[in-house]
Amino acid sequence: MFSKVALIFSCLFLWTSSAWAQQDTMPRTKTLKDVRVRHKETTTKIDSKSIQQVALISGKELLKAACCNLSESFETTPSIDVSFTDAVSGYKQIQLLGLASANTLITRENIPDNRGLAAITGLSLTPGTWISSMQLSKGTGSVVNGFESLAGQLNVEWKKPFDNNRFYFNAYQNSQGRSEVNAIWAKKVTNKISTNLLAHYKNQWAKMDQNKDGFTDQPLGDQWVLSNRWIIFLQRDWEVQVGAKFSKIDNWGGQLNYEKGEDQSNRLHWGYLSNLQRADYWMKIGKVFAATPWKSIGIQMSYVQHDEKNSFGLTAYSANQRSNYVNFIYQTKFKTTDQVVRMGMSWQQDKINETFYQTFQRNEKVLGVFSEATLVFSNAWSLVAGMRLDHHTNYGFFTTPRLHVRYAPNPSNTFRFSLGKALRTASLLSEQKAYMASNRSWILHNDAQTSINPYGLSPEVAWNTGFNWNKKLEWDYRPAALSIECYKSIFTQQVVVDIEQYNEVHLYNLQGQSSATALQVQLDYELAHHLDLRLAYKYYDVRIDYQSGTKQKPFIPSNRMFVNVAYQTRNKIKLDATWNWVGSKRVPIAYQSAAYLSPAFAQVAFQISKEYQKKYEWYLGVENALNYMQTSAIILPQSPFDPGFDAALIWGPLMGRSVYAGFRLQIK
Amino acid sequence: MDLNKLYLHDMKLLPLLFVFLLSAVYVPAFQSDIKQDTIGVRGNCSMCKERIEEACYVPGVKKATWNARNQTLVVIYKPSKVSLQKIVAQIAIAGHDSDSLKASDASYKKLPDCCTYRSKSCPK
Repeated sequence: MFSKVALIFSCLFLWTSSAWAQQDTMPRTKTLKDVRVRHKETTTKIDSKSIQQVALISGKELLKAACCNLSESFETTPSIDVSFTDAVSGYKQIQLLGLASANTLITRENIPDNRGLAAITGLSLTPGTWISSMQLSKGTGSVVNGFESLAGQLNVEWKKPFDNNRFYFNAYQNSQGRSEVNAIWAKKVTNKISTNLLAHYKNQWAKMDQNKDGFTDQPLGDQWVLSNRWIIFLQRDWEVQVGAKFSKIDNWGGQLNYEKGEDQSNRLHWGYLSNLQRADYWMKIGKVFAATPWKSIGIQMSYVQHDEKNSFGLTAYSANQRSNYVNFIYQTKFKTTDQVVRMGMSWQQDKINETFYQTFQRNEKVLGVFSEATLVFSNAWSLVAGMRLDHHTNYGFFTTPRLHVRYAPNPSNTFRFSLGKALRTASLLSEQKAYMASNRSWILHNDAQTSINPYGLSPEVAWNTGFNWNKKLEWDYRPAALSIECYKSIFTQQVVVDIEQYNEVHLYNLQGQSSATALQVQLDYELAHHLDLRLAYKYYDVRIDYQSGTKQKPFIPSNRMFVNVAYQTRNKIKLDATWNWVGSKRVPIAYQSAAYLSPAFAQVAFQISKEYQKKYEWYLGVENALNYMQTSAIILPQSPFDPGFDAALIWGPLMGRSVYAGFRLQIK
Repeated sequence: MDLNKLYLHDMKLLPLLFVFLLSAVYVPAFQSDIKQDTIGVRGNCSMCKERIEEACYVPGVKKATWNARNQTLVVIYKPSKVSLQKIVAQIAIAGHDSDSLKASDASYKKLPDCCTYRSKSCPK
């Protein structure tokens, strides 16, 4: 059914686009008399004008790494940590400010994406080649986008149908048996109507066991994602965008001699099966008043349908989600354009049913109003102050205040401060799915059946405050940028995931304190012409009051260092090297193994690429060049049906050295 | 080991990093062998700007900034490593005329249409 819908959709696209192409009687586009000011663009930069700390990650930055999907796009971005969730599913999770990815609001062109069940899996459903750029803001985000973003917001801009690339193609192969193909077709049907069709296919076909634990490192199977969107410019400056995205993942793994679909009840081979289907539909309607460009109205709508079925050995987990979202935004000014206010109303409904030993059902409806003022007092001082009032079916009314202040005493120094509150429902089971790859007993301390709250637990409520300083320098006539950032998140309510006993996962409301402190120092410098250096150091202190006492959150390194060197030769050969050092992490107790500190390790990656005529590009690279792996990552791998079995105590890389090659083609 | 007070043991690497950062600040700061020249270079657009500046970066050149409006290039370089004539020659090879050297017709003809500054100017 699902694939049929997608097929019909794509056929429809091809038909309509060819039909419209024939009747293209619109006048030919005139060459616009524009002056393009082109600086030497850095691939990642902090916008010094924006009031929030926003790092613009360009598409060029994404090209520096193997970059297959969103979860793998941050190899050259030190702000975001990426790690494997467990040793069987192959999923990677991201962390910002020491907090799991669900605390970061991920938006697709400002529409919330990856919420609920897709907190981890959703990252692999945005192919890297579809991305044109990303904006990463740390600390609580704008109230316009909701009340959830505690650690930050990552907005992903897709390649636009109206930019000048008609066709884009990319093929990728690595030595670990992973193949990928991506293609994007764009068509300007008329001057005002454009569309693009985006396709992604990934296949993991080789059984690899590089860390020699008897389990496949990456599950086998395939994944495809298909999307089509239309952008239509109407009369009187109205703009409409409609889009749909269909995703399907079919994965299986586990013990090396497990075969797909093998019966688990005879306890012969431990297997992992995962089947996911998701459809996203969205629509955006907006208008910027031409005569009064500070005035605009916009409405964003989306509908999500997500179904998944998983089995981890004898443990089964299935879930489905239906979500709809409407956000209406009106922007105007107070007196001058230096005083802009945005206000609006939002509606969000998440209907989630999960089956994991028992059924968990929830139907969260949140209606909210918000208002946000942007005040620019002078070149030096500006602020954004926002407030939301929401009503949640289970939690009642709650407010979400947020504040961002920017102070730039001179063009080379910018100081920023942010403070804000965030609330969200932890999608416990899908976020902690990694622990299903173990034989732990799950103990929910509250009764999910009698309490009205999801899982019978409280929502997560936290405050985040941050301070950062960006300094632009010039050393030896070449630009340098130094940034120092410090953020602290304090949870007033939290769902604690306690794995401090080796065969149990306890889930309970926080009693006591929980906080995450993050410090980052980053230096970007052009060592020589076309030779860029990026150095970063990060410090995390994430501590939670468990029932057994205050402890560091497991698997969070307190120190991380990062060095990236990028060089471009005169004949446009690009070389890129990354050294990523991860300090030791706390690993909780396991079967016949006391709690310990994992060893620090380094990962090194190289890439070389060459572009021809701005049309073709090939690239060749090595990931994890030092071939560092967490050996014996799985506890009791030889007897996976015993209570002590655990494949979720992951602190290091599970896959060894990987060599990859790829090709990109771009036709204007 | 008390796991609640862990993690400080590898903090000793931190000072090392700062030493590294500081060395980047101070090492290049002592240089006397630097010269700055301003010369007229003809061109049209942002593509020209990129081409002209890119041509200048031969070993010894620290910084090259071309201004389309003034048709001038400011170049900062080490005279001990590179001469102004050499930089100007590079600009000519890239197809751009300067005060002291005209680009050969062969080089000029390689320029894209928008950049043909001898016959037309780009819309400002």
